[in-house]
Parts: sequence; structure tokens; C-alpha cells
Amino acid sequence: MMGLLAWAWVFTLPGLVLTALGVPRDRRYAGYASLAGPVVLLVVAVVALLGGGSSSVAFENWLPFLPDGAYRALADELSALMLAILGFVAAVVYVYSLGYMADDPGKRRFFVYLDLFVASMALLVLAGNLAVLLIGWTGVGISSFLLISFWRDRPGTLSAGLQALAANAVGDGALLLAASIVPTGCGPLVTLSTQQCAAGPGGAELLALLLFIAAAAKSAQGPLYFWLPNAMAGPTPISALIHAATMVAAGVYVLVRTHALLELAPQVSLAIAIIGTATAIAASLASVFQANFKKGIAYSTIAQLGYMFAGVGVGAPFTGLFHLFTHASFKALLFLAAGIVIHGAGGRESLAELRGLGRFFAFSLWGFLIGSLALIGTPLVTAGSFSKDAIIDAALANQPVIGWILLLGVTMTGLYIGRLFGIVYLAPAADQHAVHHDPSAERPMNWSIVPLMLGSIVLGYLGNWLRTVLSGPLGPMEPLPPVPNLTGGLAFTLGALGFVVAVWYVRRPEYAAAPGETSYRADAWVRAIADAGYAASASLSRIQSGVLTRYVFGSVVAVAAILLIRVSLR
Amino acid sequence: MDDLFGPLLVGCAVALASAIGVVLARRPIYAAIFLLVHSLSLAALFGILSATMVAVGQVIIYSGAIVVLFLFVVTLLPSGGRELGPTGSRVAAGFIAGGGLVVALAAALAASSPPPTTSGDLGIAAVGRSLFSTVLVAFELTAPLLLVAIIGAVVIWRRHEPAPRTAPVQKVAEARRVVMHR
Amino acid sequence: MSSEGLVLATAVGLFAIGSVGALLHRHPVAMLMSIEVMLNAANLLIVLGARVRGLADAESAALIVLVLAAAEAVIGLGLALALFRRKLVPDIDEAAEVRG
Repeated sequence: MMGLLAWAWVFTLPGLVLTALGVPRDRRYAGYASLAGPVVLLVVAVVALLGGGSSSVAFENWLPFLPDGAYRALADELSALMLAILGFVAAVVYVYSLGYMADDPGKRRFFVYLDLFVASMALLVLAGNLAVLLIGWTGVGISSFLLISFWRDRPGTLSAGLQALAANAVGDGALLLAASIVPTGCGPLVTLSTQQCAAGPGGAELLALLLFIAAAAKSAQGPLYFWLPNAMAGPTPISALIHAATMVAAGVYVLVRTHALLELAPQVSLAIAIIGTATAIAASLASVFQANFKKGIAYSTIAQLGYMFAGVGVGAPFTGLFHLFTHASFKALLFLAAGIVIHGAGGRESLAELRGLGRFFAFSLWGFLIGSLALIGTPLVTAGSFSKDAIIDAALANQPVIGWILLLGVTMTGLYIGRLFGIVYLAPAADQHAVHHDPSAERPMNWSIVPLMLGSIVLGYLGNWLRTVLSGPLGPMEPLPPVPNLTGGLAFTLGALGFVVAVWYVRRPEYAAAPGETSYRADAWVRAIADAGYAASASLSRIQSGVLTRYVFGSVVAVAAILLIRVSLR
Repeated sequence: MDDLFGPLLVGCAVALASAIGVVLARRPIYAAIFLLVHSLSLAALFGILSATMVAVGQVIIYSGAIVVLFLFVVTLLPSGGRELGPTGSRVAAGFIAGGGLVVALAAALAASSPPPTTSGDLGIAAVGRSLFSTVLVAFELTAPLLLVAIIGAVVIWRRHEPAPRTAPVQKVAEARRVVMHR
Repeated sequence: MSSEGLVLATAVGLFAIGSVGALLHRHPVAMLMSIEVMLNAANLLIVLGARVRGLADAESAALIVLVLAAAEAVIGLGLALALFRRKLVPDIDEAAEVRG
């Protein structure tokens, strides 16, 4: 089965072709042809994961102008796990989209783009070397752009898509650079830590740094976070699939896959942990002040990815991967539950307009509640606790400062998710007629999130089993902390505290649900710094005069100067 | 290769003279004619250097198509007739840039040692073999390059109409689709 | 002077002459023609290299440069014509503020 899994990226292509050709002619059933793809992917991946082993495909000399230009695909337990996650969330999202996008004229195009995304993501996961990884990487970037800017007539969607492409371009550049400095004969991704691979220019550190930059671009960490909140301009199902569960997890996956290389570059590892933690805290803080429902959840995604990066950075890649596994389930659940309310309210997303409307959607309420409990790490009942405790434990063991920061950060997690839950679901309802129920659309939406609810409860128990299964690709790992344990209990208490405080705070009638505006006016010295920046860029931009002759003159003189400098330095 | 010095000298002289003609011509149409002579002289040079494929390509592709395209454009332009002379600042810029470039290139060439002369087969068959094996990717990529150039030229020339709001257009599309179904 | 030296000097000279022309001319199409001279100079250098080293690969590279010249001429002339459509532009520097 692993051999079949190595070609898993082909599974959604028949659906893509059929849907693009318009195979279910009736517009109501558009997209049904694509449903088989992710289900097949899930089944094959789970069977392969249970069976174990590994399989690789190699076509040498596929791209002869690259140092390592072979086509290599590797299917082992790690890829099987990632593909199982992808198949699971994708299958749920496909069914959900049948309801959510039922009235949308672009439904067929939507499913084609979804198929393209799943195929690219599968190729990314199955990549055996940097060349194939780059192709999958670019593929998910393009599908992400197409899906974010899906509604072309709404303002701001194209800009959001272009921002995602811009951040992706940074990651692409880093990955391209990595692919070109990896020495010849280095071969598969998994051997990046061997002596001959690390002997390239810059050594293991440079390679690890470039991979980190690429992962940070894809997972919205550090300064490259900006595209993810704006990517909420796309339809909610893809916010769940791409920007919560799978594509943004690709960064974590790449770092886990090359964890042996990170062990050779301890400073880069530390940087990963620090940036992950800083991003987690900053994003949690930002989420508390969001006025848009989906953006609040988006900042939560960034924060949780920060936790995963911190786990990888402190030298415990399995904890990061485990959190990726559970996070996929409950974050997709949070987004899809939010989508039910948004769909019922006619597409409105601001918290001020959605205040109290959640109570009319029972499935959504329970889904969001379970997702929130998983997010703050309710022990034993939800999956999030297992994985988050594992990260915090590993951090406390290796980098205690980071561990404590992450632990205290759970308070803010409770705060922001409690705020969102309280405003939308528990606040006194504004107006019953603000929502409209559409049974035929809501049925697939409601029932498709049930597997996610079950997953958010149950998947945590698979931790120890996963640890055994993944011991092949990941090598010997630290044991997971016993359940329940002290740190986990402390984390949960902090999170629950934040949750309760937030719910109490927003249920008060005088609370205004749109705290996006503040009355902060910048001090004089802040304004002076900004003015200096403006002045500097204005003077520099005068070089771009548009006068072609000056450009030609400049180019020729520059070429001559460079040549003379080069000659004189010989 | 020194037995070719005489023909090479003639070819280089014509090439340089016609290039100076392109630069100094007052009317663009004269510059185009000088460019034609220049490209043909280069074709001759390529032929003397026994690179027959490129020589033929230079005649057919460059002189026969590109320079003719230039001639077309120059004759079709409304003010293709005359050109104002260069201002003083341009002449100064030209001298500085040109002089600097010559100095820099000469210095770079003088500082490097010439590679050893090897003889090889530069015939058309050899070029064909190399085009389809070693240089294959670049060769195939010229096709999309030309396609993009064509599309680019059309896009540059297209007048920009304000795009209508997509909502009404979609309704029209819907109606049309229904008709086609029947 | 050897033959190689002669052709090298010619290529350098042609390149410099072309760049001077690109700076002297004010008509857009004439400027483009000077740039074509520069491109031909580079091509001459490549062919000389092919001859000296005996490599057919370099000759095919020169052929591909020819194709590149064609693509570049198409776009350049399209741009020049588009400039002329808006208003008569005998001087390229007046087009500094063109948008779209």
C-alpha cells in the first residue's frame, strides 16, 4: 500500500478533470465527481499507516540542469500520517462545501481549485528531494491564491490573494536557494544531515536557515504572518482546509522531515523556538482585539503554529507534529462551525453583526464549544491537551524560559477563544430574523463537522501509538508526558480561567463588540520616526524618474564600474 | 585562423562603419537602412568564422524579419520622418558612457588570458545535434517566450476599456447558457 | 593583432557604439535600433567563442540569442507604437510620465 501511496498526488486529478469538464451536468450536483478523491486518499493513507514500511520512487535526470534534479517521492509513515490528515480534513471540507457553496455560481471552479490544492499538497508531502518539494510548494501557493481571491467581485479579495503570493514568494526564494546550494549527489531530503550534504557552502546552518525561512513563510510565522489574517477573505471552507489544517502545516512538516539537519544547527533551532514563541504570544494578543470573527480564529492559527514551531525548535519534533495532528482537527472544526453561522447570517463576518446569532445553530454551537475546549487543552476530554502539554513539557525540559512563556500564554488562548465564543454564541440574541435557515444547505454542513468533533475528542489518545509508528522516520523520541500531569493541569487551569473571564466580560450588555478602533494617538517621537522614514523613501524614489536615457546611462556606467573594480581587485 | 584576417578585417570595418551610421543618422529611416547593412555584415562575419547555421539565421531571422519589422514601423509612424538632434548633455553622457565602457572592457580583456584554440565541428548537423540534446530545455523554452512576446504585444496595443461590474455580466452569461441548452 | 583580437576589438567597439547611440538618439525606434546593435555585438562575441573553442553548443546558444532578439524587438516596437498612439513623441524623455 505504501507503493500506491507514493503516487497519492494523482488521486484527486480524475475528479479535477471530471469537474472541470462539467461531468455532473446538473448544476446542483456540480462537484460530486470530486468527492471520491480525498476519501480514497484518506483510506489509502490510513491503511498504509497501519501497515507501516516505506516506499520510494526515483526518476534520475529528470531536471538535468539542477545539482540534484531527480524526481524522488518518498512514502513512509510520516507521509502516510500527513496524507491521512489531509484526506480527513479534505473529505470533511468537500462535503461541507456542498452545503456552503450551494448557491454560489462558481461552485464548479471551486471544486476544481480544491482538487488542485489537494494534489499539490500531496505532492509536497510525498516529495523526496528539494526539487519535487519546490513543485508541490509552488502548487499549494498557487491554489491558495486562486481560492483566496475566489470571489472576484468583492473588494479586497485580490489584494489578499496577492499578499499570500508575496509571502509565498519569499518562501519560494529561500527554498530555491536551498535547492541550488545543496551539493551534487546529496540526494533525498531525509539525508540532508549527512556529511556530504552539510558540506555545501554555508554548511548545515545555512541550509537549515533557508528551510526555516521557507517554513516560516508558509506557516505565517514572524514577520511573514501578515498574509494569513487577510486570507480570511476567501470562503470559509478553504480557511478551514488550507489556512488551518494543511497548507500552513506544511512548514512544520518540512522542519520535522529535516529534523536531523536541525540537530546539526543548534543556533537555528533556538531561533526557530524563539520566533515560534514570540509569534504565539503576539498573535494570541492580537486575536483578543479582532473585530472580525474569522480573523480572530486566524490569529489563533498563527499562535498555535507558533507552538508547533517552538516544539520543533526545542528539539522535540514529534511534539510539534503531534500538535499539528490534533490542531488540524479542532481548528478546522472551529472554522467550519463559524462558517455555519456566517452562512446563516448571509455572509456577514463582523462580531458586531454576529453578536448572539450563534445560539440559533445547535451543531455550530456544540462544534465551536468542543473546538474551544480542545484549543485550551481540556485534559482527557479533548485532544488538544495531549499535544500542547507535550510541547510545553519538552520546552520546560530543554529551554525552560520558553516553556514558561508558552505555559503562561495559554491564558491568552483561553481569553481570545472565550471572547469569540461568548460574543457569537452566548450573548443575548439581537434579532431572530437576522438569520435565515436553509435546511438543504445546512444538512451537509452540520453533519460534516461531526467527524471533526469526534476527532477533537479522540485523536489525542493516539499519541503513544503514533510515537511508536513514527519511530522509523523520526528516530528515537522522548516519551510523551503521562496523562493527566501537573503542567497539563496548570495549563488547563490558566486556559479555563481566561475562557471564563472572557465569557463573563463579553456577556455584559455594555460591552461593545467592535474593539478594533482605539483612541491611541502617536507621540511626537513616533511621528518623527515615521516622517524620517517617509522622507528617506521619497528622496530615494526620485531615482525612478522614468527618463529612459538616465536609466541607460546609469546601467552602462554601472557595468563599466563593476568591470573595472573586478579587474583591479584581481 | 590567421589566414582569415583579410576577410575578417573587411567584415569588421563594414560592421563598425554601419554601426556608426546607425548612431549618427538623423532620420530613423536612414538608421534602419544602416542597421540592415550592419546585420548583413555580421552575417558575413559569422560565415567567415565558419558558423554557418548562425550566419544563415542572421540573414533570415535578423535581417529578413527583425530589421524589416523595424523598417515597417519606421515608415508607418506619423513622425517617423525626422528626429531632433541630441542635446549637449546627451552627447556628454554618450562620451562618458561609451568611453568608460571601452576602457573597462579593454581592461577586463587585457587582464584575462585567452583560451586555447580548439577546432571543432560547427556545421549545421552539429548544431542540430546540440540543439536537441544539451541545449534542449533552452531551445524548447524559446517557444513559450515567443508566445508571451506575441501576447504581450497584443496586450500593450489593446485599448483599455473600463471593466463592467461582474454581477450583470454573470446574468447575461446565465441567460446565454440556458439558450444553448435548448 | 591576431584575428581573434580583431574580432574581439570589433565586438567591444560595436557594444560601445551601440550604447552611445542609445544615449544620443531621442526617437524611441532609433534608440531601439542602437540597442539591437549592442545585442548583435554580444552575439558576435558568442560566435567567436564558439569558433575558438570549437563548441557547437555555443553556436546553438547564439541561435537562441537570435530568437531572443526577435522577441525583444516585438515588445520594444509594440511599446514604441503604443507611445505614439497617445501623442506624437519625438523625444523618449517626454514619455517619463506615461501610465498604463
